[in-house]
Amino acid sequence: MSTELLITYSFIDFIHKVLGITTLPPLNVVARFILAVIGAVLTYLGYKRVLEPLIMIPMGIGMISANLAYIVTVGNPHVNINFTNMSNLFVYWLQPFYNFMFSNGLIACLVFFGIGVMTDITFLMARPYLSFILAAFAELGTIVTLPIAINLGFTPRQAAAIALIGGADGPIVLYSSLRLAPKLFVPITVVGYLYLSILYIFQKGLDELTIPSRFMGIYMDPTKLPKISPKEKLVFSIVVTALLSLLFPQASPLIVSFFLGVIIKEAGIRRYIRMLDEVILSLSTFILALTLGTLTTVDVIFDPIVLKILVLGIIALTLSSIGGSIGGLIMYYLSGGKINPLLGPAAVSCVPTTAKISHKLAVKHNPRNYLIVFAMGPNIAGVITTAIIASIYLALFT
Amino acid sequence: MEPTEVALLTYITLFVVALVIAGIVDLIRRVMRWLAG
Repeated sequence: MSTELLITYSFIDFIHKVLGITTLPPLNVVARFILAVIGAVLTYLGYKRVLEPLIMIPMGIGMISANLAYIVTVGNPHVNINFTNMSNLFVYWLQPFYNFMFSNGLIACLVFFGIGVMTDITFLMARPYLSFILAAFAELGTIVTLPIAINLGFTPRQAAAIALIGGADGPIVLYSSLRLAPKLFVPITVVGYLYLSILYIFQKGLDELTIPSRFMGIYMDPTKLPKISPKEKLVFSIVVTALLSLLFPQASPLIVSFFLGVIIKEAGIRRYIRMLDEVILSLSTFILALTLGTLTTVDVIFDPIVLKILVLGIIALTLSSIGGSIGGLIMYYLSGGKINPLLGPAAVSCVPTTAKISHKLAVKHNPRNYLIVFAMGPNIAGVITTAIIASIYLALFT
Repeated sequence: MEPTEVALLTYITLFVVALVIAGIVDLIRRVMRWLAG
């Protein structure tokens, strides 16, 4: 072999070792660049506050790096999707978070602690029947998407995990998909969080399509809401935690996390409130988004099945929103026109986005309105109803 | 069970449980107010 040829081979070997991506097929490389660009776009949209920055900035940066950084011997240098192999802990820097926080759903529970400590259940307790009935209506997508997904070829477990996107609750989507469809949890969760980030864009349009504008301005007097004492909230949290743990053991980790947060808030334990809100919630959201981003790689995302999940996700959320509107209109007629039907779509439990959208629409049609205090009731009830459905699906399909 | 049957039963269960929880909230409020005189 000539010296020139030897030098050429050594150079190519050097390039392959240093730039691992050059060893991959050209189509794979192109797909990786496309995902890196998508990651950059998500980061920018997060930066511009078009999408949720807390999720999109770490997720987008994670996507860019995970798709461009490829090491021949280990692949993605950040995390390995196989969490049963414990030796991965010594290779991938994000692996400890993935193995010990994702595989068992801990990350979703930590986020729920934070959500609980930020949630005021006053409005839910002030109008309990209205809140829970509307929340049940707004689960339409979570219910109807299940048979649709099964008919599209998904297994019942996968279909249930996808259908839960209709509950519009990120941590529940994450928790359930990890248990029901571990191989699809990355695309399901990424699609779920992506849709939840843009929910405010299409939810407003859906509300305007499904609810006649003459009903949107109906005035509801916030001063007529009954006062709820901290003691009542404490008793409610204890009783409901006990009841739901008894009836729905599969979702009890989420239920305990949420209501423990609520009780800590009501008890006014400032040290814990600060810890759960500023430290636990912020840290777990950051780790969740970054790890999800680094898992969003070509081999996981570039699969025809992801296109189906994208379609089913939007179907689930749209149906839930329509279900909420139907519930709102029914309650409007049953109350003799006293209830603003915009409370219905507010029951889609993306706290507090959907409640804020209903409030803004109500104010737009009648500036006297202050609907947010009413809308937060169904909104928070939606978190509980989604947890109930998740538990039923987990009990039925695992 | 057929997927549609599962979905329907889940929805019915959800409505029943939602009404039960709402009833509990109502009961708690009434009892607490009665205790407070």
